[in-house]
Amino acid sequence: MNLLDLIVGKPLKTSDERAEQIGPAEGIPIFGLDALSSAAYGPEAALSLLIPLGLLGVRYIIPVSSAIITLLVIVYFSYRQTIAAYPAGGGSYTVARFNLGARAGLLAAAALLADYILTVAVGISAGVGALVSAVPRLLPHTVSLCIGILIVITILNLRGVREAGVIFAVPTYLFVGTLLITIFAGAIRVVLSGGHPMPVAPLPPPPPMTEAVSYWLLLKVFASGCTALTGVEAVSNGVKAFRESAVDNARRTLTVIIFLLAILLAGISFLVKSYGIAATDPGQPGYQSILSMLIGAVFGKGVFYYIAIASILFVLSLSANTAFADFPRLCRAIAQNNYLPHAFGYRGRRLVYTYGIVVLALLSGGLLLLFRCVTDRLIPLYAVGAFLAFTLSQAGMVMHWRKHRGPHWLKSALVNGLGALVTGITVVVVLVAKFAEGAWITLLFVPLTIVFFMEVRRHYHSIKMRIACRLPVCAEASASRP
Amino acid sequence: MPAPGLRGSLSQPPIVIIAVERWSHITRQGIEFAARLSPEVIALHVEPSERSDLLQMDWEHYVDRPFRAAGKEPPQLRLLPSPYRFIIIPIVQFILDLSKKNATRSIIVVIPELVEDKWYEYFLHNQRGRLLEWALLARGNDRIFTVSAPWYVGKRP
Repeated sequence: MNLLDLIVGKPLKTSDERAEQIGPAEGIPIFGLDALSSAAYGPEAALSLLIPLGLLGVRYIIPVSSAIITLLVIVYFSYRQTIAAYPAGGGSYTVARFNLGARAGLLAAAALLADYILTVAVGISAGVGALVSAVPRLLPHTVSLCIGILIVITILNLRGVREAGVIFAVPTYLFVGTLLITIFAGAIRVVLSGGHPMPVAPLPPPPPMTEAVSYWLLLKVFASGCTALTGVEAVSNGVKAFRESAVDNARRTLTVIIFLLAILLAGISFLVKSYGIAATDPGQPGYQSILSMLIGAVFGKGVFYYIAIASILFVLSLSANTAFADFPRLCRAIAQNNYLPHAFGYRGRRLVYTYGIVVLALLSGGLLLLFRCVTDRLIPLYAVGAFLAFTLSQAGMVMHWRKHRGPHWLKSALVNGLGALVTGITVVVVLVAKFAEGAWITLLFVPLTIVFFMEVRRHYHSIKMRIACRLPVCAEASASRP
Repeated sequence: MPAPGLRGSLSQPPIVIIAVERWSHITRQGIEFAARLSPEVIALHVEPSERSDLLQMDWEHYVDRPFRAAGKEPPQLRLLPSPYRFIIIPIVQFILDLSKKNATRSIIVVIPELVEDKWYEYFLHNQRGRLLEWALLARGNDRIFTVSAPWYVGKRP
């Protein structure tokens, strides 16, 4: 056994490929980790913007969350339709490319690449951020912790998706389980106390009110809170990874993921409002995450609290794994259309797309170093990429229904059209509201990536033209038998 | 004690090996060069590849026929199976086995290569030629020689 075998495992045969495919139970952690863990930073991103409104601001979380959950349901129906329409894997790239043309496809591809790179960076930095706020002694080592976790996830993925699924399943189910128990127990306490529960662990004093509420502020709160939706597209990209019948298994997986996410978002908002939990300033001493305060308020800071916090830490840092499952597949699809170097389409010794995994690790690692692992600075970049991809995918589905007029095409087109409209508005709001805070980086990344795609394709085309040969060899000058 | 100097028999011509992926100007130039070195040329193509069938048809048309027309033995095309999708290892293994079987003969490995205009374009194409050369240096013997057959995309003075 050599060193490479030890790290990434023995090589697998091409004919072993079927064994690498998965069902819903394994699919939920692999494709749902990113979506579900968004519940840990989405509500918090919204509540952070409500800090200037003081304790009064907390009650606005209910209408904002209702709007976000409504959007989630619209997006859910859209992707359910997409999975059935594109069983070979219908990511935003495929849908936009087929229905809106090659240019829109490239736009979606660039947006998705940004989305995946930031999924990794945000997941890891948020996980480590939670860890260092629980154990402040680790604060000086934030960057090395982030890079260390990135290396571990990269190696797991180079070993192959099935084994990664087993490793990621336990924290995912623990995370969802502890949060559901917290929400259930908290709701009972709210009802028993007649709507005014006493927190078990004391909450920090609410911030003073420094601003009056405005529609613009609520719009920004909504835009930030929408980061809770990131990652729900993963299933539709990876339909091929499922066992037969892949469409049914993928749909079942998506349904469970969306249902759990909606429950988590609704439950967290309800308890935050009932207990009056206001966000604390990130980066300041005394910072505590919303979920930490929430679980502490319901159960106190005992064993359950630490189990729950540990699972949040794990799930947040591992949510990066969703991107590791999808980024290489997307790169391969792009490379097959000659827009990326062909190396992205080669499967390595473990049947995984080695180049995609390594490039994703390098790019997200670069972002982590550039932003010194501060989640707050990464979130605006994240939202733009994710929602641009949502918008293009759903706009593409509208065109799909117009072309293939089935029995209920108008209804389907309306669902997707509404989704495209709302996610499109979200992109604009995030771009305007968060432009100076980092959204401009994505705005720069996307067109530059598109230029790169076109250059690569142009180059491959010119090489293909030049080496194409219709001449037979000249055998006259060849050596003869002695 | 063997005498210092080139090993392998000088009375027999070398066996020439050439790795091919598909029919192109690069392949054509490489085969013509290989055929000048020796009448005994073996072309290796690693499967699985979507291009195998097309390559076999092209081979028949662009290589077999002209050689027969000139009254010469055409180079043989060998397909090497590769269940682990490795490209380099089956080729290296074939060459090592061949060298063991022909203990007195030298083997020349011709590596047809696309050479780009600009350094950064280098990353757009696989670098299997370089890898094959390194692998042969690492695992080969003193009767195995490698020759690069460059095909330049841009004009050269």
